Amino acid sequence: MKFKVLKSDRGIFFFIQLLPPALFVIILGVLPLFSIVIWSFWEPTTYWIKPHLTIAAYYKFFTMERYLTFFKTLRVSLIVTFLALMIGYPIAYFIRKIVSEKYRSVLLFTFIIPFFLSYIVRVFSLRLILGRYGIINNVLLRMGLIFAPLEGLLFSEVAVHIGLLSSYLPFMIFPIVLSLVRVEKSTIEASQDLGATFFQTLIRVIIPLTKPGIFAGCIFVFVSSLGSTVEWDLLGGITEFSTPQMLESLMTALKFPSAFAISTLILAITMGALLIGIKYANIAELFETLE
Amino acid sequence: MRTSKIIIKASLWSLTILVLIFIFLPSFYLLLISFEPSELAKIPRGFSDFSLRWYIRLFHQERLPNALRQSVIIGLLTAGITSFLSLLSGMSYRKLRKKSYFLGLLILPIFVPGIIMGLSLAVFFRKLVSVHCSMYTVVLGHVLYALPYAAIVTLVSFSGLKESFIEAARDLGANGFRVFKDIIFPLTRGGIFGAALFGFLLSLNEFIRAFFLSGWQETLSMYMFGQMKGGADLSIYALAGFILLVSISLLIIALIYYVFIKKVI
Repeated sequence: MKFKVLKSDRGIFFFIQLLPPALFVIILGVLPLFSIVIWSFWEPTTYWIKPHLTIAAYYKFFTMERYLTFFKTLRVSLIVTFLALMIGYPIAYFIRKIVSEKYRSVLLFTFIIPFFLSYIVRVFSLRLILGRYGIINNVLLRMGLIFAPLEGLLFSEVAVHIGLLSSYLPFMIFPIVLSLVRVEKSTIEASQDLGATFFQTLIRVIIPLTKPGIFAGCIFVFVSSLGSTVEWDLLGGITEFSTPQMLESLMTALKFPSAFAISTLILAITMGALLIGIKYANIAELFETLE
Repeated sequence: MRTSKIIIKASLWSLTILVLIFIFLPSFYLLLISFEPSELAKIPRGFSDFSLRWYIRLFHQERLPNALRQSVIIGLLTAGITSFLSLLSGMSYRKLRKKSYFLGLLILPIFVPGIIMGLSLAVFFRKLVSVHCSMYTVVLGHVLYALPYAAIVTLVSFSGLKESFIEAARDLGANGFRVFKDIIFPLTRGGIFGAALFGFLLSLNEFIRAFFLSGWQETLSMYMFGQMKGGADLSIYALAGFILLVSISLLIIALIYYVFIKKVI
């Protein structure tokens, strides 16, 4: 089937260029995922697994209350995704449609910077804000709103939400900015000329047109939050336990099929979201500018 | 009508600025604290109080130099391989007919949670190909992590490359290497350097994949994470500050390069 893509002017050179990146991703990015999906149905031995079909790992997932941790992580990721959308959409709209050209590139660049800074450091620095002697408690004490430092800010689920939001909010903004490029100014004006208020235009015209960006942003934030350990480890405290931490401890305990089963469930959810995004929100459209 | 527009604009400005404060203030605050000479985690009182005490203390940490060296080598290798693979992607992408499949494959790793990628690669290396985890397995994991971003940056720069430039060079008798050296590379250099920068910085700051894929030698992020969980002294702020400063300096150099030399923005 490879020959179908071959054009007359493409020689052997074309394949020499195409194959390394393609094979790299297929061998290291796809094959290992397939392996763990298959291995999640195998039987554990003392140190590894043996090829014998069983769903014991999935059965254990539901009987050993691992699903509770799993659903908690899912819930937190969904809330963070929702908050990121609520905050990120207006900002993306502002950057793309309202601010002048000059500020636009400055703002876009500013939102890229977090990608390049250590997220461990960024999460860790939130401790200084949320902690017992942190900025928030200090400000509230000085203003006389509270008389003793609030204890529940750090090392709680709230802190985990804040940490995830601060880490992954830029992932929401960029796809939406990209999709807003496709909303012409004339489309918005036409809607307003026909008597629609701003919010009617937003809901009936702009949001449907930016569906690919919204979907892509939500998937980015959701996937990243779901697979993140650092926020839970550094901000969650001892009592908060997440799916990624559960995976780490299962791996150290050499309980491979169980770890693979949970990974398979996470993969199924993320790939399902991706397929829905491709089929119903046409997220591939976002990258058409590259073609 | 006019006033409502002004209100909308003002509130969007304030939201954006608040979010930027939310994103950047903690790191900035940490950077200031790292210069505080006393044992207290607070901002230095005045400019004369800024001290490098905790930074100097870093030199006495035994495991740190090895972790730093490990991270720099991994980062450089990742940058090299990532930009090379991105370049190849850009070169072949022009000639592909079903572009979206190739692009989809390239950016697929973005959609796999980091922990799953690290875990599956670690098991893949150990059990399927029987390779011991080492620096090189971390590099492979990091290339896989950085490639989607790097490839997008490179493809954007390749979109400025017109097919007619290449045809013109060929008509004038240039061979493939000459076309690459005189036409393709100079026009797409910005994207390729961008890809290398993505590779280096993403690798330097990456934690969870390195955690699963490195052998006995830890990376800088792993070392730092251990210190943070263990509740070390204030030198942890200096270490975090040092990493921030390295990343920021590289970004400034890149910014100068793109704005003043390439005039991209």
